[in-house]
Amino acid sequence: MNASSSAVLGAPATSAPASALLATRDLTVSYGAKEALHPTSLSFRKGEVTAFIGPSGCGKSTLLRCLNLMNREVVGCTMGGRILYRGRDILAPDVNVYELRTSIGMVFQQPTPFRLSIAANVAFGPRHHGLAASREADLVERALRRAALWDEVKDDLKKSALALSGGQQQRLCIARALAMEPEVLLLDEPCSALDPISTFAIEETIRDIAASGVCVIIVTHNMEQAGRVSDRCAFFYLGTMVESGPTLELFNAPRTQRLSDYLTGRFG
Amino acid sequence: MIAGLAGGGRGTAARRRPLPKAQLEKVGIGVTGACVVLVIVLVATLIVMVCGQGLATFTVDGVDPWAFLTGTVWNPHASAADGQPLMGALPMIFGSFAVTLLSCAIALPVALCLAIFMVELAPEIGRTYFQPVVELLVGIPSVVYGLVGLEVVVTWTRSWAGGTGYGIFSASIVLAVMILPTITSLTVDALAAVPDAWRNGSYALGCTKWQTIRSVVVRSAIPGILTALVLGMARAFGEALAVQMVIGNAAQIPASLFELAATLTSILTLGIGNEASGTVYANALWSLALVLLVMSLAFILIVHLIGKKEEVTDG
Ligand SMILES: Nc1ncnc2c1ncn2[C@@H]1O[C@H](COP(=O)(O)OP(=O)(O)O)[C@@H](O)[C@H]1O
Ligand SMILES: [Mg+2]
Repeated sequence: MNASSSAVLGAPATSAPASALLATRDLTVSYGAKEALHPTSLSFRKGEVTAFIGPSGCGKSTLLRCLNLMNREVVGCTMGGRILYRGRDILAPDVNVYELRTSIGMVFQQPTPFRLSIAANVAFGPRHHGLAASREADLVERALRRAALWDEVKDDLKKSALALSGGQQQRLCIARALAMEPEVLLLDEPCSALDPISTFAIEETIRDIAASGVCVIIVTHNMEQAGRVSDRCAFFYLGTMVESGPTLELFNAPRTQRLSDYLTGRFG
Repeated sequence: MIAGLAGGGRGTAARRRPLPKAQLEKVGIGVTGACVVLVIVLVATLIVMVCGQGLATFTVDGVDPWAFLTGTVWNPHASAADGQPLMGALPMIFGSFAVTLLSCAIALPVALCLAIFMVELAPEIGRTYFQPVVELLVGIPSVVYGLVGLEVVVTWTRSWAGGTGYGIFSASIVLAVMILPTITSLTVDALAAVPDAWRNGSYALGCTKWQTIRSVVVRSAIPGILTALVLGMARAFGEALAVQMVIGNAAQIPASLFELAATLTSILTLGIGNEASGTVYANALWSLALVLLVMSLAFILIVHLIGKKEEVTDG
């Protein structure tokens, strides 16, 4: 959607513009001895939606889990290279991962509401980071509104979150992440377990969240979805970032044979 | 337990048997049905018998049920001034509840810490070392616990609390050790059943490991932990031998945890061998058994209610 930014994604470190909020520089990930992600350099900016596309097993989730250091919870996983967040390398040993994750939120493939009430689910993060109880109701409402769930659940806030439908649960998880007021929101195939109507609702939500200034990164194996929600795209194949750029450009004029094969459905 | 037995034994029909399928079907239904009927008859007989004998105290011997439950003097051989037998079961009811609650209060926190260690902190060590030990502890006969309790716990209690060393305190310690493996292994199951996705969801919100354990893992596992606790209580409430060896067996409400006391089970096992059936004393003992049975059914009912509630919130 933003033609002037075509050089940003995948640009080398030295020329990364100041507007890049988050960037990877020659980032690699290994599980044990096996390198699952080969050196990757990408930049992500506020207010934009970036989609990771590619066949399954190509390393999209692996890269996404680096960005909030969730890979630290995976046994045997090591990361190399650099990840710059606000210009600072978050792979440095002195970085507080818990604090980092309060500003880089994540939503998983399967909706994961806790066995708590709807309101308690949304307030879960803030409560553990010292939110005053008096502000809780406001915050819950705002997060649920941003996730486009408020109207459906406003009378049932005390009810169990597990009673919601799959699509509602996923939007609740988005609201739960938004309650932390993150600068970056990571979504790993958030719609793969959902029906088309829920999927559409979540795509709308994602556009709104980006419009409010959040840097959104979404993994998807669905080309149409990437086309609908993303401003920029990065295509992965067998652990390598093959091509990246504005979504429209990438889809209309792929530079590599691999991507053009993938787009025409020859594999994947 | 009844439901478990009734549900078992389905689908035993194997292929390549000489009997035709339809006939095999009938045999299968016949065999499993017979087992179900057998179990139902057994349970029904048990309940009818305990109720019949236990109620004889009130119907035949004319004891007032309220006086039975609240009276504090237990001497069924003797009669009070009004001619009623002295049959107050309160000391035993009190003793049973006291040792049950106290032993659970001791065992639950330890079991919870053990389970957290085994599931969350060191699953490798938990699986290789703790799991077999816990399983071994479950299988040790209660008389062994009683013997060790008599030698170690009673002696130790006497050394610092004075008195005989017998009493509710010693009984609770012995029971706590006995029910610890049960509560631990069921709590381990409950914690392990919490999906990893919930842990990751919590980490992704910037929560630490301890925050995650407290607010997500243990919290989500509460129904399972309660089930573990109630089953532990049922075991403690029903245990006879080990308790009888360390509690002192005096049918009185003790003034402290270190005085002689008694439980329903200990008085029952001590008395039942010495009485001809049909006597007032024997009937009184059956009434104690009735109280035990009702309480056990209550424990099972609670477990089922917890299970139901869990299903509802999961739905
Ligand atoms: N926890 C893990 N341990 C070992 N290998 C893993 C793990 N997670 C992913 N991988 C491997 O890394 C590669 C990339 O996986 P992933 O990032 O999940 O792919 P995608 O999300 O694109 O489908 C795959 O070959 C996968 O087998
Ligand atoms: Mg994936």
